[in-house]
Amino acid sequence: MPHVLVVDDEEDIRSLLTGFFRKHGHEVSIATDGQSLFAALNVQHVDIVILDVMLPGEDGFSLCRRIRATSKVPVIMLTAVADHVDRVVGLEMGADDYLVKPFDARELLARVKAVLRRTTQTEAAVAGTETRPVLSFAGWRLDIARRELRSTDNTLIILSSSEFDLLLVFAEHAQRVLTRDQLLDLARGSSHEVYDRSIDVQVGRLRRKLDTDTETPSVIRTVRGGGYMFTPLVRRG
Amino acid sequence: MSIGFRPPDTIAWRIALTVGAAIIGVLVLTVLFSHRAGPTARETALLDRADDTVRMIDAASAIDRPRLAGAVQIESIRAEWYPATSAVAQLFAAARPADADSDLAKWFLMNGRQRRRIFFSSDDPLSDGIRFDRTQHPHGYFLAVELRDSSWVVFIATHRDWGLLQPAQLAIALGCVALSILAASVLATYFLSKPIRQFAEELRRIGGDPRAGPVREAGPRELRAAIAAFNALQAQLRKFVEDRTVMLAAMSHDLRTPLTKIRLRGEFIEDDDQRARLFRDVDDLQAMADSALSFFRDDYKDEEATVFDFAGLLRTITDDYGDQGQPVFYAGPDRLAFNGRPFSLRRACMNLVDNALKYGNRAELQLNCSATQIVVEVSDQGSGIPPHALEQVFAPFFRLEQSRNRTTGGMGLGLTSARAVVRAHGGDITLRNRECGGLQVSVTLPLMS
Repeated sequence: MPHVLVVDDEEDIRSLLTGFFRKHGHEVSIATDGQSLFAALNVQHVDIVILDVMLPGEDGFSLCRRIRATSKVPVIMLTAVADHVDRVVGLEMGADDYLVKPFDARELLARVKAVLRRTTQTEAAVAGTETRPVLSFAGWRLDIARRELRSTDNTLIILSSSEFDLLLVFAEHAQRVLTRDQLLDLARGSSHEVYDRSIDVQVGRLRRKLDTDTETPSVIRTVRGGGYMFTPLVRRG
Repeated sequence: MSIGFRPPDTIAWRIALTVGAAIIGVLVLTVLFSHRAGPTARETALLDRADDTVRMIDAASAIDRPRLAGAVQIESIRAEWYPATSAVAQLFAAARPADADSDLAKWFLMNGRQRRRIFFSSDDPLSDGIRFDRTQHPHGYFLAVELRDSSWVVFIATHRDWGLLQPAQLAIALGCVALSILAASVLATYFLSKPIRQFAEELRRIGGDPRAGPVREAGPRELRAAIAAFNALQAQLRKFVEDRTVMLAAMSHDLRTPLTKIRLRGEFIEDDDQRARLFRDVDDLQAMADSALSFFRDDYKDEEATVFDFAGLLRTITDDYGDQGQPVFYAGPDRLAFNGRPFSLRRACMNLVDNALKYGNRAELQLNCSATQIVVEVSDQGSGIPPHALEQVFAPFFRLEQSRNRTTGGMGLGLTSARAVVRAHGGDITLRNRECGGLQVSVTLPLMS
């Protein structure tokens, strides 16, 4: 059962998030400011911190940096400012993801799941890398924290939220056959729109954006018997 | 006043300098001209003396006439006499009598009647028989005057050194004045209007942007005062806008917390349909707050430009709307790299698509690219916009009559902020009613190298 630490100065938001995460099978602790945040981190094991940027006293950015100095616990930041600068600053401070208020609780849950999945995998693969989580394959670069895909010539490819999530699932499970159910399961919730959308449509859209020419075989191969396989080699960093 | 005298740099001083320069110019040119032009033939009494000479020779006997003529020396002009029987005289007699030069009309009278006179140059065949050193003086002038007995006195000028005729002098003098006035005007335009033009240019550059820096104070004193006043006004406006922006930002920010709570509470609503509706309402509220905030803050300026796939952007928009069951279509290339701000442009395009869907039932996106620019066309099937409102619709908070019973949120800022974003990329948005019905919005974006 993952342990979530919610840091917010708003009583209502703390209790609502607590209720929501408990409902979805998470253990929840709360903190209201920097002091109680570090107190909580010291006394118990925490799997992920959900950190509000606007806090009385020390702000979330500064707290995030301080957490990073001592711990590798993943951090998702919540902000009230839909600002690119804010987002970049948050990511520079070492946050693993970033959500703008008002956010969808399911979106937050999905991000929590995704971050947890990623960080456990990363720890298993290369323990203690400080590099920004970036996946490279066949000339493409997938920046997980910024949720950006760039081509060989550094052109930004615009992906919808669900396309990005699906591509991330593929890249994290490269050269393995994934059934539609598995794909739906892994990508689920990252965007609630995925529920009623066919995986095949999503795969089609990804192929259109990733396959630069019709000559070379697609990076996403259709496997007879119902499934897809992401063919290129994926490197971290 | 200090020792080093500096003329006050005022517009009045500049005008005085310019007018003074113009007048001095006129005077200098006039003096130069009159020096070059010299006095007129009348003023030099040349004609009076020639007239006297003619009378004297006419009064003398034929024997004395050659000698008398030979003795004539009026400045550089000498005279010859040709008896009526000479070939020269016969040529003259046959020639058309003198030009109707009114300037000569008062001279060479005989018993109140004008003598016949011929004025010609050495190019004229009439000069063939005249004793005259052509090699030394290629351009001679001649005045032949007939005497009582049909003999002729010819005045020979080796060169023309008397002044121009009155009309020519007048014309040249007027020309000089006109020229100097023209020069003065050009100078005036340059020195007087240059700072004003620069000021206007600066104003145009900063445009309606109250956040632009102050205009540099330059030019004459009056203009500097005007610029200072303008800068003060602009600073006040900026302060005003900033205060409003801070207020709106605070409102928008403060709205987020209760909206977040509503969304979180919504998770506990069991009825899926009601929950979805609640979320949609929250999204609408948020979109309104965001659009107002982004309009007042121009937050596209914070986004960094990057090379991105414009075709992919339009496709993603099309797909997203398509997934929500909205009729949005894309036609164009599969890939098109463009250097710009992807999130801002995406929002701008989405505003246009939203409008097309709201007022025109469907949105057709067409992407075209030339060597210098890309053009995105968003066409709908609505009733279009009355021609008089084609520009008005860009005004913030402007809404057409028909849109009052709108079903979705929006504050009338969609086109305004879309145009702001596109103009920040050096492009523009134009609207046009299609012949086949519906509105076509064209977004033109120049390709940056």
